[in-house]
Amino acid sequence: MRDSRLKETSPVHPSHDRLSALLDAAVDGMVVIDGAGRITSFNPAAERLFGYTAAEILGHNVKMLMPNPYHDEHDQYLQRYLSTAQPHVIGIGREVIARRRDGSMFPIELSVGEFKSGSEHGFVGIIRDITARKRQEDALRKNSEELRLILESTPTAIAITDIDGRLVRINPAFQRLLGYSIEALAGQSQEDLVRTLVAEDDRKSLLSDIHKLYHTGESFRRDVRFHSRDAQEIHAMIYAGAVCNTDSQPRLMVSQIIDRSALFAAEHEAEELRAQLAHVSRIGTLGEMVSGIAHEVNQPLTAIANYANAVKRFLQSGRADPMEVAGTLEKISAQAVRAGQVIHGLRKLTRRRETERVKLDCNALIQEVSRLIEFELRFSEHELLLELDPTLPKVFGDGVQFQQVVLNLIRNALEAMKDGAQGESVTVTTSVQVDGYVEIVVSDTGPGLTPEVEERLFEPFFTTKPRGMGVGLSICKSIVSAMDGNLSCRLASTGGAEFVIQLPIVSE
Amino acid sequence: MHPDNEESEQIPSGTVFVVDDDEAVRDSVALLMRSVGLPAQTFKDARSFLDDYDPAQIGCLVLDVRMPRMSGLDLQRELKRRDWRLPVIFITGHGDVPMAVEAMRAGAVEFLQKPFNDDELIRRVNRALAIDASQRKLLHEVAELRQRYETLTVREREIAQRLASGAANKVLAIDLNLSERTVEVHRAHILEKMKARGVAQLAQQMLRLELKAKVIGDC
Ligand SMILES: Nc1ncnc2c1ncn2[C@@H]1O[C@H](COP(=O)(O)OP(=O)(O)OP(=O)(O)O)[C@@H](O)[C@H]1O
Ligand SMILES: [Mg+2]
Repeated sequence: MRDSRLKETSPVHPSHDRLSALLDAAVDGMVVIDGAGRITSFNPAAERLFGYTAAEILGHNVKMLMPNPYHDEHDQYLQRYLSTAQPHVIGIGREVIARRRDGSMFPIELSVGEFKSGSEHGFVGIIRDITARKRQEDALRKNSEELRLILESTPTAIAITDIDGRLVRINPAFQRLLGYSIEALAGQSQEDLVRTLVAEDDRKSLLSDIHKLYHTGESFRRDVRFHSRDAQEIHAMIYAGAVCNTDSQPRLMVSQIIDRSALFAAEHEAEELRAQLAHVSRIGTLGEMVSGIAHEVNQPLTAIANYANAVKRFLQSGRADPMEVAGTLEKISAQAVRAGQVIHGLRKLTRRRETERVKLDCNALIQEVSRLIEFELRFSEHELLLELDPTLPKVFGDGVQFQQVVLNLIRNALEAMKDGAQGESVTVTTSVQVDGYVEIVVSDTGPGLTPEVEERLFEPFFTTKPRGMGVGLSICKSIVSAMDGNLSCRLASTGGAEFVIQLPIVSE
Repeated sequence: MHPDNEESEQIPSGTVFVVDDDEAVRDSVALLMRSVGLPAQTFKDARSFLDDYDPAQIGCLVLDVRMPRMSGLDLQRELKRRDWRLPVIFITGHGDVPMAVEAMRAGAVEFLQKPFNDDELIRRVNRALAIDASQRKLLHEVAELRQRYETLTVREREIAQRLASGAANKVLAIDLNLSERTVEVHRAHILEKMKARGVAQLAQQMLRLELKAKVIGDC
């Protein structure tokens, strides 16, 4: 536009009036100089831009409108052009800095045209203030700088591809995740790129997603297995969105690739926790195991005692048949071996887990147990409430065993309330005691303890339940004792039972 | 078939039936029984005992509480249902306490925890055998009494009841609107049919018939 206007002005020989009318009407600032650089014309737009009136400035060297270095060098530019006819600015737009009357500087876009008409030889400069545009550009630059920083520092792998599917940009996270630099992938077509990066089974569906995105701008997400450069398979989730033109035509595709192996790892960890808690919950099974083993050992012991007594009686009666006696003694030793095998198996079972003695965060351990219980309480009317003191100090012990104790106390509490009305609850409270102990209280709203039950509570094999083994509390007691603590019971204010675990605080 | 004969034949005998799923335990219990001269028979489970046992056999059961499929308690219940009154001595393992409690509620009182003292088992077995024998004798006697009682006419039964509760002939005659003579004839018939030596024995017999269940329970 500007160029065409110049073409219009320069070759033609305008009458003076026509030229000044033109200059007056122009929106852009226009400054005309002669071959020596003196200002011969200064239009109203230029007056507004520079703060000089035409009257003030006419006849002055144009360099007064320029800050250094242009100010000092302008004469040379002009000289050079006039001698070599090699244009630097003429006919070409330039962004330069201009100086106002008050000395302030502002960015302008300058186009210069040359004109010759008879004796007159000069140049016309068209000046447009680009302060606003500059500011916008700066903001944009700053913006994109921020975006670049985000792109560079985000842990999420990001790739940007153009409408032809060629890679425009990848971020360092992408490079870390998949092992490729942009150079290694540049120039590949969409299909090649997908072939390089994506596991065969996932390619087709991913490509169809991508094509759809380019046609409709529709973003998508998909589980995709990638292949890294070192041939690792990476389970990832790809989120892709389109960057569109003003006419909302997709122009770029931005893909985020979220590594799910980390998620998998977290899931795995959760899985392990569940398995561990399942181990904790096996205390019921432990009770069964103990009684099962007792039963198993009892059988051969019973047989041994019977055989031995039978032999004794046969001998005493004088009716002993030596062969029968020998046979019976053999049976005795076979039963002794059998008992030994049971014991052996038991030893293997107990050796499976060694007791630890580490610092325990009781609250966290209780929370884990509560998750397990809540799972069981899904269909129950009962409720499990936690009132945990966040400042609870640590205690020494074995985490799993501690959880066994808590779990068993909660189970007992729930079992005590089994037939009770709805709205019954078990509360686990933790608190710090003044005497250097932490206290964990499991209280219920059940029927409480009769004096007879209370007296025998901790006896092994004492139970009032048809399917109980009666080992829960005795195991709890021994675990708490091993932690140098104390397990006791009392009546809760609700009328239910309250079991109190006291454990010594670890001195720092 | 005189009761006295039965007594002399059957009290010393009687078989110990051992039911335990553990071979060593049942074999050793049987051997222990034989060592004191008691015949013993072993069964590997409740079912095979039920199949083999003839309720006419005198004896007692040494029964394991915990067995797969049919437990000792189930067997005890089944015996009750069939009205086989064989005394049961339960032998229990360590973890069987709740079952033992249940068995006690069901009326069994003989419990031995494994491993048990041999004297204790032998003592209890002997006692159980004696109980079974005397219980059978009682049952037999009562059955016989019932047979005799059933030969009485309706009128005779009425008079027998009243005589047993101590009514005098004269009172009976007035109450039943009979002559005293007629009452006496009835009385003679009753005593004869019931093989009672006098009214005192008749009274005892009537009591036995009434208290049949209780008499047996007391053994
Ligand atoms: N919160 C409670 N309220 C009322 N009674 C309780 C409570 N906790 C325990 N008891 C009584 O104490 C007895 C012993 O409990 P313990 O946990 O040792 O054995 P159990 O629960 O009977 O069997 P298991 O070995 O399966 O745990 C119970 O049978 C019950 O009678
Ligand atoms: Mg319990």
